[in-house]
Amino acid sequence: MSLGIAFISNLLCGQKIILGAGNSAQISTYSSSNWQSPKWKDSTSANNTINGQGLQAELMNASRFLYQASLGSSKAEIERVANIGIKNWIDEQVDLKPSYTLDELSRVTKDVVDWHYLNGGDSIDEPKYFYALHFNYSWWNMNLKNKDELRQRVAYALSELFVISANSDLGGYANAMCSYYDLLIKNAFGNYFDLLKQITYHPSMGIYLSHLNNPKTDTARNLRPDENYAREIMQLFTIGLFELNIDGSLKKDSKGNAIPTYNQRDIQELAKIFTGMSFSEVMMNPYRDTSDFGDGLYLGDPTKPMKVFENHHEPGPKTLFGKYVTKWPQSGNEDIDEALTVIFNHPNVGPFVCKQIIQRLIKSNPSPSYVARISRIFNDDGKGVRGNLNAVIRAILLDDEARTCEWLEDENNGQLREPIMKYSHFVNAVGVEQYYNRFYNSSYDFADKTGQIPLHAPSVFNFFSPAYQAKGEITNHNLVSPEFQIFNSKTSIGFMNMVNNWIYDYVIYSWLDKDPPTVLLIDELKDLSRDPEALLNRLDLLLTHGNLTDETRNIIKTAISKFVDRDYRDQRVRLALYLITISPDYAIFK
Amino acid sequence: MSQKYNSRRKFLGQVSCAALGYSTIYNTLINLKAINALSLSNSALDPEYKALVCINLGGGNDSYNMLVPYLNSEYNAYKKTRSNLALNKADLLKLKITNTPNKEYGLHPAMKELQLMNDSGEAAFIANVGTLLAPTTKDDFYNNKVPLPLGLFSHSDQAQHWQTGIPQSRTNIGWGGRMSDLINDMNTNSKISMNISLEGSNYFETGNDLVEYVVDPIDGAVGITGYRPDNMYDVFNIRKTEGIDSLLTQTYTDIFKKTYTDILRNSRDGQLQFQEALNSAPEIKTQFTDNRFSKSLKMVARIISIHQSLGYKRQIFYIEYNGWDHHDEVLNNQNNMLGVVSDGLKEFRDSLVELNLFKQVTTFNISEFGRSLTSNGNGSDHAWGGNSFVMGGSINGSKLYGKYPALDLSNPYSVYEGAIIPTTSVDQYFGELAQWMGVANSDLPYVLPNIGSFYNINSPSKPLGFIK
Repeated sequence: MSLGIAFISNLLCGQKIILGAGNSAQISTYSSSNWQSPKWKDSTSANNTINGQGLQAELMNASRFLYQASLGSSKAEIERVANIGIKNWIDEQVDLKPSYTLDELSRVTKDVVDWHYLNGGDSIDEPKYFYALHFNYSWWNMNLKNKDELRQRVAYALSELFVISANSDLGGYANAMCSYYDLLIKNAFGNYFDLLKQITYHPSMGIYLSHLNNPKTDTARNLRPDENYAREIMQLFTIGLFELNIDGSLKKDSKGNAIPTYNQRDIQELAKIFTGMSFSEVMMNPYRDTSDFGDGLYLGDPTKPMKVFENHHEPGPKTLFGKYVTKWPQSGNEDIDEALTVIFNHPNVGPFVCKQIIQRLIKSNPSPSYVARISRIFNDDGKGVRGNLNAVIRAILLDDEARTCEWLEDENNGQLREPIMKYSHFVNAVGVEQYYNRFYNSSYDFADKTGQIPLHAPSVFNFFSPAYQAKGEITNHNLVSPEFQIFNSKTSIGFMNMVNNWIYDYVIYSWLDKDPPTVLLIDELKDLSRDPEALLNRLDLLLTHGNLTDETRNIIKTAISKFVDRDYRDQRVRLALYLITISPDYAIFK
Repeated sequence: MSQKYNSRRKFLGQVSCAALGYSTIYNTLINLKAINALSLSNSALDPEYKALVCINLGGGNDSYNMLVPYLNSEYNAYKKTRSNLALNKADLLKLKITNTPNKEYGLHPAMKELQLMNDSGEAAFIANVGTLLAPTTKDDFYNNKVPLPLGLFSHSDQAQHWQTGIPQSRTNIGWGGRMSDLINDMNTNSKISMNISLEGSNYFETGNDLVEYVVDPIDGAVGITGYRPDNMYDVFNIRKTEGIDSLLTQTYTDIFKKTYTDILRNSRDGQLQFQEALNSAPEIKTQFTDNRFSKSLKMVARIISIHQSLGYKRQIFYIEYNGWDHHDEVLNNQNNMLGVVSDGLKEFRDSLVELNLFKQVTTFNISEFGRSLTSNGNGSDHAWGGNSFVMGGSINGSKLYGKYPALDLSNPYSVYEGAIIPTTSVDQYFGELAQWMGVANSDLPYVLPNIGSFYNINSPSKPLGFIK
């Protein structure tokens, strides 16, 4: 009997099966030839397969977990998780020192300036302006080197919830984008209230949702506070439009209608809270050392929290949600704190926020009871603390619905991987190199072809809506499929063509003419490729987490087995990578 | 005009394959050849062809600065209310408006080309239009006497409602999509949706039968690199093509995987046909400005030029131009952006004249809401009713349709601080466009379920009359 390294569905979910007489019936095996090399550990020899090493269930589990918990991980990391266990890995990750994009940006800008002089540039036109491009460089360079993988995954998810975008004045200021992104990194395991407060005070959000330099009411001049932030902090960042049950479902009134959480008057009152805020510091300039209300982005320092200029802050008590009257007199900071506290304690926050984090990390359609379990932890982490994101993220990842076999096979389980997750996961899982270790990725080509790169959403509503339903089966089953909103005749093929670049040529284009591009590291895969099954087993581990179906496996095997000429190993690996990455088994994360 | 479409019973409870082509690639190519042969023997233009082009100014255009009262008394009220956001009267472009005898209106100074089109009868304006469930007064509004659209003043909701025409709920099916459910039978193309988006998925073009086909403003339909190589020695791409075809031939029971492969398969099939036709289209001589908006309109013109070879009698196009959420710097930003719109419209107009299809294409503007008349310092906030433009050879132009409100804050339609309750419903606006596309009055409620509250479908007159 010829045994291959098997995808064994019972094992995938972590149930150990004792191998021996009577148990082999549950194991489907794949082997294409009897040929084997003793030094290739993934080759499909019997003695290499059904032993502790070859039984890949723990590895497949680890791989699947790491897709939920990172922006893509290497084989080494998959093996480590399989060894130390998921809980220990999470503990380790939470304690790791965070890596920040602003630190990365200072390295990027130094390289840009050095390059300028290396190529004979003079001091008069030394590069001084760093913009969205350099944020992209920083994000990618960090993403391919950092160790704090879980934190970075959560930060990226938060960036799709608390949206700012380079498609605004912010696009001209890399430091404004980096500083904001770092806030999300810093608070990924912190408290939701602190996160909300820091976002409220961040100049980048102030610019994006225009509460920076927001004036108080001036009836003589017919001026009134800007309502933008007041609306979106409620609609998108905390409570949503309608009252929710703890499981995320809509509360209904006696007539069966949804119950709005606020009205236009509430927004106008809350808008008064967010008045008088502007830059607290200025960038170095020849005019003055201190900031003033009304300063623009060219002068203010977007990396320092805004402050309240009391004489521009709306005086008097404000009525929140039609009933809660804020204290007066008090300082602008106290006013903001009081309002944020009221919002933070709204019962909607748990289900509204937790459901969306689950949708980003795990699946598009979490069961109501999953949402409820996580919302309860948001409401109280067991020690009486509300909004503990560390507890929330752990609970999301460790929940049965994220982990067990039963849920893996649920027909409603699934999520279309978003373009940036595919890109990031692919390069981290397969492995890449750039001679100088500079992964400066403009990624604008990718954005144009697939509709997505970090901090470049078209609006505060992110790249897609959490409630989007694709036509056909998704709508017929009344499911949601957020990521499908940006999957269409242009972006679906656009992504295939990006993969084509990766496997043929480069995964990251040269950031400057004379610097080499980033390319795939496929030596190890080439070693495996004489036996297509061995190659596919490895790719299943790295990319599809044990969910490669027989059908897809056979299609790829058929296609690549025909390559037998001189460079056949290279061709097999490249085509296998292409086909698996565009296959539904990869595109749909189960 | 022939109105060849089946009763709307057709699509009730029946799923059409029109949007999701299942036949093989060979069928596609054979069909295409047949169509091309046909097109060679016929004239390039179908006299019955009609297309609607929807321009969505996403974010909420501050349209009370696009269309401004010009008579002194009314301009002064405008100036007082808008305070530091008011445009100078001397800068406004005075419009020739022939149906408002005692009123005058000026256009934003950046829209010179639109002014010219209006004055020559090729464009018109719809005043204070917005989402409504019933005619609504200030008293109705404050005292909850009539039902109101869900999520007033909210981007996501109002953008959705403008596109679905159903502001009482959040539905994914748009009025353009429902219209295409009714009239798609007039088309012979079964591969590529009659609804084409230059931007991506949108509610407007999503029907019960059809979804939009997305093209790139510059590249057109995006093809798979290396697919079906001409070179028989390109073994890698031959194997790749076989692999792709096998993956797309597979049937998938998983809900998500099936959705994924259906979209991918449809994209591949549509593109092959589409790009073949586009490649043989004559070059358009009209020059377009080098920006995304103008490029999108040029692509629309190119697609319109091949309607015959692709087998279309009806098409709907969707273009988005985002970034109108001017809470900040409204004067500067709007000045730039309205200029882009105005120039693009003129270029599009010229290209359609060049194609001899100007009468057969109607362009209209949507935007989720007008903005507050009052200023927040240097910007304006989300509001409700706003002004829209329509353009085309079938427009009864140089006219203002609907009622332009007085802009003092004490006017009977002003709520909160300078939001205006719409006095014309989007149903009236869109209903007339649907009629023009060939939807019978008896079918209007399918396209626009609330139209009965604003227009008697048994009436011999049109909802607003802006189409000849």
